[in-house]
Amino acid sequence: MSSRSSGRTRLNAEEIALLERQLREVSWSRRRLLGRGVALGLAGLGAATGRWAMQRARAAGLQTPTAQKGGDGTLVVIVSSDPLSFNPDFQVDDGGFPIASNIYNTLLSLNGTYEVIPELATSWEVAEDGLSVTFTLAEGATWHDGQPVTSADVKYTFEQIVADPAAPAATLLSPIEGVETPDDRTAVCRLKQPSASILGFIAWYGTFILPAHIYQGTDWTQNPANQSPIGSGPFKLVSYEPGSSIELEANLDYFGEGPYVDRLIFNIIPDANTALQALLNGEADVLHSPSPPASQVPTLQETPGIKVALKQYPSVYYIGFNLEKEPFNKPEVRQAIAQAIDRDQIVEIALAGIGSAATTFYTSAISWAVNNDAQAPSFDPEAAAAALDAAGYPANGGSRFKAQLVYFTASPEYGDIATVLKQQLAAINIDVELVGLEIGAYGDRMQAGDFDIGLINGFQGPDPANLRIRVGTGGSVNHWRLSNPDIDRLLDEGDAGTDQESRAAKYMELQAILARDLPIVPLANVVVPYPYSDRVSGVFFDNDDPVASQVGLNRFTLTRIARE
Amino acid sequence: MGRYLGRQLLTIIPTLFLSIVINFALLHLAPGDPARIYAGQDIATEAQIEATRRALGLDDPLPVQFLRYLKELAQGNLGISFAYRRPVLDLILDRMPATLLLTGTSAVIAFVGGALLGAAAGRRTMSRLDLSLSFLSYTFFAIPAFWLGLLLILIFASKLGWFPTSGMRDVRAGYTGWRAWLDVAHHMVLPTLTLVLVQMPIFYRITRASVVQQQREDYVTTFRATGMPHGRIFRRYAMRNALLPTVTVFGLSLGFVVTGAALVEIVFAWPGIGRLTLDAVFRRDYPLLLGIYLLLAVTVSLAILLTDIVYAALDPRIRLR
Repeated sequence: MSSRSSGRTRLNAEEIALLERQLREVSWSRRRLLGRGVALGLAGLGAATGRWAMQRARAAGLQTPTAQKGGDGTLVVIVSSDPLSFNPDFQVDDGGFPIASNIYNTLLSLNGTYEVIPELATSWEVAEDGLSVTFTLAEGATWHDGQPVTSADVKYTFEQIVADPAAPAATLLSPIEGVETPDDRTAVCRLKQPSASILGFIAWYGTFILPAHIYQGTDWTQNPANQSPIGSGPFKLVSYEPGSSIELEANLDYFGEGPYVDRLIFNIIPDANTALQALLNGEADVLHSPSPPASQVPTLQETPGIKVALKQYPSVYYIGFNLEKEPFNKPEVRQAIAQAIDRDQIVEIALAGIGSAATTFYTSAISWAVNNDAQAPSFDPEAAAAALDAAGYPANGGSRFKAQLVYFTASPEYGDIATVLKQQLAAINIDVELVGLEIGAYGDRMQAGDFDIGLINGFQGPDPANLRIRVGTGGSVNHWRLSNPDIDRLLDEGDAGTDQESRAAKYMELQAILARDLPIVPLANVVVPYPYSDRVSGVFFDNDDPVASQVGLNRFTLTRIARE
Repeated sequence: MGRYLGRQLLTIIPTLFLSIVINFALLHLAPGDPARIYAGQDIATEAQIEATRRALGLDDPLPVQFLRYLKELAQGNLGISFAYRRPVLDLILDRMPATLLLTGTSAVIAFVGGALLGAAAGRRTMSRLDLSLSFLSYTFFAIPAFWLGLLLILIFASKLGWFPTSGMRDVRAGYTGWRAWLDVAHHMVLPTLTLVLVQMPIFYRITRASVVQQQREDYVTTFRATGMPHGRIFRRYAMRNALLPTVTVFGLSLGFVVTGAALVEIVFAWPGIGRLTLDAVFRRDYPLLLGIYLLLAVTVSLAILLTDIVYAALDPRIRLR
């Protein structure tokens, strides 16, 4: 970058600051008139033309507006994979999620601490009987094609999601019976039964509001807008180069605050090492995904020019037992295995200290619902060995029994945790065989119940009602075949409750049952490192940044980038 | 020649059909349930999985699915990708230019470079040149491409800053016109170098061995006896004969050019078909995989046909048989 600043030393610091600010204004106003090429050319001129530009800028008498949309910055964000389409609602599309989050809006969104905050809806009210929620839409919200966003769009989106069983949010939004539209800015969701968790689910996944005037009456899996999206969000799609990048530009008509960068480019880099080098080499400003290996984080934290935000996700690494297999169907055996686990060592070795030991049965990231009294058994290998002796599994110098530990090789951390677990269980003479599988084979295996112990993690937010899929009878990630009528009843009661306090009581009781029976054992909290350039501010993933509480996950709406 | 060509072309048809059958069967035999993957592993209920299965057309018996696939194929339709919900052909064509650019260029450079170095080494075996090239060829042959790629990134992009880290263009600059071409060329250097370094040893070793063998042939001894200069014997006779096996291998490798180089594409974030293929494997995107495999079968068959034609042109005994 030295070549860019050479020659400027002839101007004093104050002049430079003024010049920079005014060049920005000139280039900004010119950009709107002449297009980007001219503006970039102007901004790239050296000091020789600097004074000329400064005089012109002064002559033009340009002032710095305080809350101007856009800016002259380009923010480059690395993501690991292509979006499957630009319709974020009809199928699971984790690669498309961060991109859609900046093109579309959800009614509500989840902030950095997983609280429900307003987005397209500025306010909402749950009816006394809990059977309807009234949303008031933001004033002045428009689609990227200029049409106003109305309650008809909300009605189309939610009714379409609920009507298509293949939509990822179909089940989560199933309490919605229909949407009424008394006026353009009011949408009333009628519910089949009171559901306290519905607001969190509306704010979460696969619920972006789609333009009814584009989608109504069409097959939403095949609509041309799935390739050229019309959203209402802070950025508009400019171009998509498959396998390479997605370029967005600021939506100058965005109804809310922001955006503060002119262009937002998602650069697709699948390999974690390459992605990290691209960031370090200045080719990108934010590394969203793939996350760098935990082992690299300590070095990164020492790297000048780079900040690393460590974001705790409402997700926990945990093991579960095959409750239909001996000896794992015996509570005392599960108790002994749980006692043999040294969580601090797992965090230290497998997660390179990035993360923390998890001892509760719901994620501590959502603090109101976690039961801190229901703790997992603490590390006590002697007691574990004694308990196994007593349970009829003596070591006799060899192994007590074999256990097959199956995990999904989504990231190196799984394998590392599994390896540490194998060591720790070997210490009490349990012979663990590690089976790491890619997603398809893993899914089949867990589905078939062909495992002794499973190692997984997963999103437990935005609401503890989401525990149903993990520990409720027949839940989609209840691989353990756990079926406890008390747990199922508490899940129902928790979801039907309306005030947080009484709901929390239900979920805490549920966690106490898990702590007693130990079908699953929590290991460590999932903490995701987000490295980014120190020129960038206003990011959703850094809870020390005030913006993190104001914008939804994955939004770069309020992100700014300082000039070099 | 015409009849020979026709006969060779005819043999391609059963080959392709067989490969279609095998690909279809293998994909459906592999573990992993696409419906489960597309419905979302974590949040899907059984009803959602069944709905997804129907939407993807996976609820019919396998023979029915196969016949449907053949029928579509007969109409020139490669199907719709499970993941992207777009025509498979479009997805493949999107990636084709980047793929051909990277793997095509590196295949040609590796072939030319490997053949030249192999000839030079084979001409003077046990010379210092021969020994060092042979050592290097073993080394690069043994190095995994993705590891070499990362090493080159660390040295030439991170340490020296000579080349960009990854990708095909500078996304920030967004060049147009001739600058855009230069930009792509600049981005191409490291991935091409990686592929060339790992592919060249093959061409090198084949050429070298074949040159060594040719120089021991009787005709070379005879030429020498007539007093023909060594250089002339080598260039006009020995080298030409020695290149035949190298050309064969090159012809075959051209068949694989269209499917890219997955690992190198991943390391360098190059938008080629190799990455598309690997993603499709993990996602169990059957239509996309079948499309790519079919493309591979076609190009390999054509490459073999082309090699046969070149041989027939070179050697009259083949076309007379």
